[in-house]
Amino acid sequence: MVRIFAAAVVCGLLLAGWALNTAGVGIDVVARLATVTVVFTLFIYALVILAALKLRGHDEDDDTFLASTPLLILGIVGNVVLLGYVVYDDPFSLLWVAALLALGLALFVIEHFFGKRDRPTGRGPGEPTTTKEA
Amino acid sequence: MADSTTDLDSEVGPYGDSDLKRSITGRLLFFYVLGDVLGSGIYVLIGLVAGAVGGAFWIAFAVGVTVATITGLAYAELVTKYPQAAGAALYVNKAFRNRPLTFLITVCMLSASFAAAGSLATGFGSYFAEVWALPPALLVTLAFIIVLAIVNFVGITESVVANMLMTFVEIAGLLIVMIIGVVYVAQGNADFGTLVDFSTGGESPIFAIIAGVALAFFAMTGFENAANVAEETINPAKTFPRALVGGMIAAGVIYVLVAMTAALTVPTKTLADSDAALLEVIKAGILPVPVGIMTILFAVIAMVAITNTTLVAVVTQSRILYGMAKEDVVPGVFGKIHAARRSPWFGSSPRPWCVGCCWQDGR
Repeated sequence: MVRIFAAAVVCGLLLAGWALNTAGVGIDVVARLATVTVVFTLFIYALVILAALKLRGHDEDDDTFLASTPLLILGIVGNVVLLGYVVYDDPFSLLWVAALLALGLALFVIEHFFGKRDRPTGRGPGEPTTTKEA
Repeated sequence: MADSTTDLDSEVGPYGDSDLKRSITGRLLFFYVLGDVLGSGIYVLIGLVAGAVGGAFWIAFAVGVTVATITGLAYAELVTKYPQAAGAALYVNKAFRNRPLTFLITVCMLSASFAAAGSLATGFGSYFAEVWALPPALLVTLAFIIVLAIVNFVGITESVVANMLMTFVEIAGLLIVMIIGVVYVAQGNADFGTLVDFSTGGESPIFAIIAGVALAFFAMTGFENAANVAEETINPAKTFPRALVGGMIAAGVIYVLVAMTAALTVPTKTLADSDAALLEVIKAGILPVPVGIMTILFAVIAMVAITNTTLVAVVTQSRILYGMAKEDVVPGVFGKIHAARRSPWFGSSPRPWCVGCCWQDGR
């Protein structure tokens, strides 16, 4: 089921691109989908760097590798600048971004109202279920 | 306390933590990272980067590598602190304890994977048309995605050997391009002025480079998967950061050399207009090999490379959805996978062990 859904979403993106081109809205599907990928990826990377900075001082010992803080801040700036430019350069990519986010939200809504509970008891959503937390 | 083998987010092996051998050396990890980063983004997007910047588009890859490597440092820090918590969503959850944000990151990861698969599939279609132009491009791209979904279902993606073979093919293609570059320069035909040419159509070179970097970034992603093998890495606190950064820089150097070769051997406009830009380097006929044969061979190499990267994206999608189902954020029907499937949070213990075994056997 999950593979059918995933394949269907990707095929949906491809068909949307084809439909737009057929309708005369000339888009470069490779470039547009690459831009969409990069928008999501830059956002994720910026948050990961923020997470690393936020977790400074936690769970550290003498062996812990610590990246250079100025470099990490430069990394956040770099990711945000790129993200800003990509959106400025191709604002229509945000439509595709919004559509994919809406799909994720729709799945959540469906599960929230109609789904059964699979998550182990005692743990909230998004929390790892491993028993070997560092 | 040993954990169940089918526990969703368990990063321990099937036999408990004490049986997880630390078998991956720094050198193994370096090649693992290199293989993960050297995806087919460069096969698919190099023409667009050239179009955005001009002959100096190698700078876009150099800047992209730098930004991505800094992000890699953050991953290295988090991975060595929390080796069992591999994955952006879990790091963000740990740091911010904000459920909507964690959910948002997970949806972003999934969506990035969908979009990447779509972009790569379209690129596949372009190279396919060089070998067999008859079928409509849309049909080829849809069929490609469907076939990969079937391959994923059957479980062939779990074959580490197949993965390694395709990575070698991927690298071989890029090596061919670099060899062409060396030969071209040795023949004395290279106009190095091209490498500092910014054909930006009136825009500032800075903006042109940023545009190119954003596209080149697509080629740099994949390094975050190396977080999966942290638990199997020997002395991870020291080995992991070095191997990760080393692998990314090596990939970056290869990209820059490939970009320079393309810029020197093919007019920038041809690269920008082509749907299969790297093939234009082959068609320039610099090597003393029949161009027709080389073109078909390289198109096949490119298709194998793109298949490899897209397969990773397809596997990623199903695992993220599986994990989300188990966390009750998407319908439970996505969580119905047979018990042998591993965690979708990129944790897959058998794979790293096999990587270690395969590399050791190869020595």
